[in-house]
Amino acid sequence: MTEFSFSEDDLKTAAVIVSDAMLDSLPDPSEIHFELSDDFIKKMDALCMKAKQRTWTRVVLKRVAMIFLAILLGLSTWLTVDTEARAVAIKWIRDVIEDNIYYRFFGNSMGTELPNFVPTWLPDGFALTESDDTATHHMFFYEDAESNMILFDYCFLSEGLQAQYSGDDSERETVYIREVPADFYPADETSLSNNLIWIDESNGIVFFLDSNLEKEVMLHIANSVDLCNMLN
Amino acid sequence: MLIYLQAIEREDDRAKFEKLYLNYHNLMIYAAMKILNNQQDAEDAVHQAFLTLIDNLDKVKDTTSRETKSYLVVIAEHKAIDMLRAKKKILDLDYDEAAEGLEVAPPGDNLLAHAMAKLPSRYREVLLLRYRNGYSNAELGAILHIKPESVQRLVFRAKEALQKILDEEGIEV
Repeated sequence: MTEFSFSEDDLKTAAVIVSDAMLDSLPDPSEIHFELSDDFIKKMDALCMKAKQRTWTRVVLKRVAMIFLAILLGLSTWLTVDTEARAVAIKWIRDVIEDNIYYRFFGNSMGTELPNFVPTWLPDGFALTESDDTATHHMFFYEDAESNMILFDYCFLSEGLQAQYSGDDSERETVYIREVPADFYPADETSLSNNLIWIDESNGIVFFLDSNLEKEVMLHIANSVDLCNMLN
Repeated sequence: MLIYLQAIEREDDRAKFEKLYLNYHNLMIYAAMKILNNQQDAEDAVHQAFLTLIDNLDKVKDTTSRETKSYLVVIAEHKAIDMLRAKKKILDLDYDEAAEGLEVAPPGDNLLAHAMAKLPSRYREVLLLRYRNGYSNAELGAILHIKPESVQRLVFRAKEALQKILDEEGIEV
């Protein structure tokens, strides 16, 4: 684990100083005057109107999803509805709001110390260049000589955890990682990498795999993920 | 058991948003123009910044504090740089990461701040949002439109880059 010569408090002090220096390098807002374009004014007027509506829409969507979730928890029979929500005892949902896909997780974490998972297969030429681990999040970054990359990380499902992808949900593809359904998002103009997310509901862990490699290679890597006794 | 959520109508959110726009849109355009050198592009970047703000309005507590002012400038810078990169990619031009972003004058005696000011903008931005504004991984993920775990990685890399500057300049904090 990398050791830094500065503390979190040192960073806070420095950040305030840098922030102030940045602001001091700019004129006071009252001294700045632009002749704004009609297009900008119109867009900002529309945005101001949306400020109220958007909050309401998000709250309503979340309420619908949460109520659906509560129904599933409370009843013994499944409801068949046309919705993005998927929920079991682990409690998570997938929301699609405009151009973003959100994975939201609920409930208490199923552990305090993450088990050690690693990919046990990687394409030739890849080496671990960076890793980071806390009690609740492990991350591994691999690169090869051609700057291809693989980012593998995982964490406990827990209240407040949220993963977000920007893009078109219609591009999402269901694949399987050891018979567990997973979501695959191909790269597009908003992301240079393909993204894979799957959930181990029995252990309450969500896995992420991001890479510019092809889908089949990523699936091979994902299917090789296994417990190990020691982190690399 | 059904869970009932109260949907609270947030009229004050709209007033807050309008206040932030009125107070700071010129400053944000000014900052974006420093990067983009074009008012039309700067307006687009600032519009994008306000789109981000509207999704994260609850994270702004005081509309007049320097903390909030810093947050808005950083977001405007971030969007301007995104736009600059996109333009250069379309034109098949190389971009110099070190030359992007607002120039921050060396801030005096604090050596760590001195090094932080030298960071590439994407690292400086995330450190300011984390350590100046106090945003969590989840909050930063929402602001920067990346996964919270990606935020953690970015913060880690920013710290590594900061340490590298300290080591290369022989600075001990």
